[in-house]
Amino acid sequence: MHFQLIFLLFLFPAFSYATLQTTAEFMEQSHKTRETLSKDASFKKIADELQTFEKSLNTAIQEYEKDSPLEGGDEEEKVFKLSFGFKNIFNLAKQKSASKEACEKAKHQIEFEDKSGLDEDAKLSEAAEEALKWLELLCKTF
Amino acid sequence: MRFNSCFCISLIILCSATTVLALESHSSAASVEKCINGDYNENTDFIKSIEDSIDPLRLTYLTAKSESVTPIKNSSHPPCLETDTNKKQLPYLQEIAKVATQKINSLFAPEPAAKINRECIAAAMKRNPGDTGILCTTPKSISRKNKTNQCINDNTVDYIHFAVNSAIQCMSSDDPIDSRVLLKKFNNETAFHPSIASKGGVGLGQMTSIAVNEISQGQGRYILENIAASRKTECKGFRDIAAKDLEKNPRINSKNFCPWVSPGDGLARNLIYSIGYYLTLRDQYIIPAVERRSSSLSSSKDLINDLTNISYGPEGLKQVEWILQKYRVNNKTSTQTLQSQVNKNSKYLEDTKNKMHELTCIRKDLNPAGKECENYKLTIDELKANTCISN
Repeated sequence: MHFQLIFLLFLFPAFSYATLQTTAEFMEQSHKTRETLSKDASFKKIADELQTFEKSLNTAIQEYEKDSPLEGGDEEEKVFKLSFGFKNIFNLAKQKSASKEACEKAKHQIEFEDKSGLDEDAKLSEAAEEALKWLELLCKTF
Repeated sequence: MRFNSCFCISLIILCSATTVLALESHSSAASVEKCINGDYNENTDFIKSIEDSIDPLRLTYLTAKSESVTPIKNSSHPPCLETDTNKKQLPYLQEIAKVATQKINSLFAPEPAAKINRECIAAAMKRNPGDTGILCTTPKSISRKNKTNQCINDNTVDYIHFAVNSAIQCMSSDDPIDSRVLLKKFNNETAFHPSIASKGGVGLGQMTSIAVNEISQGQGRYILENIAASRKTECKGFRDIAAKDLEKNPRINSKNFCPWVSPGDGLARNLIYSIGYYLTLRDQYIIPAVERRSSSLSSSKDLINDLTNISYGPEGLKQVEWILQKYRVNNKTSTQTLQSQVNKNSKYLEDTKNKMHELTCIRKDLNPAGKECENYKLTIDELKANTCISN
């Protein structure tokens, strides 16, 4: 009985850690969802998918916070920065439609917030590149 | 007739400017041999390029300089024991009323930004910023690899001191610019050498294309609009450039950095964008990001300045957002705790402190590479640059 309890105690943190989604998993989810969307998908359809993605990112960040209430760690940093890179596209997805101006503004914001402070020839992060692909998809609809 | 009078006025302005320029170049020619930053004395191209420029900022500087040496006329105030006729008392009373009105108005006017002391800019300019300097003495820019430092003399320091402080006063609004932040920033990035340019950044504040776009087309456009419309005297050297850039979005062209580093329009433009970028980051990004998490923390100017400084440097905006998330910042977070965490987590803030240490050693006549400087411990006021500003 004692042995079983100790075993369960050891298993619990391992189990809770396993539920925390990583950046790689989120990137894969994003790629797959984007690719399954048909070329003539409506603004609403794309926006719905983005909002689902935003919810799962927010849930993951909350889980990381619960897991480590005082200070965030390395994997949380990656997930948080991925979510930050998508912030402008998530905001655009909450609109009823995308205008040319709104699309240009979102593109500038994604690039600026990703590259601010970096050298002239610095490349965009993977998260910002992925957000721009979603933007392209969303902005084809107006 | 109208043409003639316009022509005469233009001729007078041109003659005055030429006279001031001639006087300036004569006075500086004598001090050219004094390269205060240890560069070789024949390296006068940069000094010459400043003296040859006739842009609005330079002309404002020369005018201010010539006015400051004009002998002060006898005071219009009557002596205290003057006869007490009404006729003589009237201007005196009017003067008292004028001063009193000014005092009352100043109680309600926004507090002006503090000025960066000349001594600190001089000490910064004696540092070797260790990057490539560009000369704009010919139409094409010349890169001087491995020889970063341009020779600078006392006149160069005077001009940079005037230009930086004019820009700070011009661009300060109800929430004045914290001059200490800019001193630390410019000292860290370029040691106040306006000619430094590379793919890492261009000019005093090391601007990049993405930062320039943020001012000309993004959240910082209001900065250009405010300068273009400003009636402040300090904006005189910057107004035309702001107005021009509102019409034609400027770009950084890696083949010709001169519109951003030339002692003429380049210096004024660089100051507008460098200080404008600091204001945009502070007011449009950092303060709102902190306020989303805590309503009280944004009132700490030191904290906001540190976070703005991080976002301005290579760690960027993303890192600031992450620091706030990492330390679970909320309404219960204490300012001191967060500030110490912020400082521990930023290499850029650490670099900035090291460069302030170097600047302070130079001010105290200590060799920045020597043991004495290494052992010198900065006071809190020196570290915060409080000793480098005055009202």
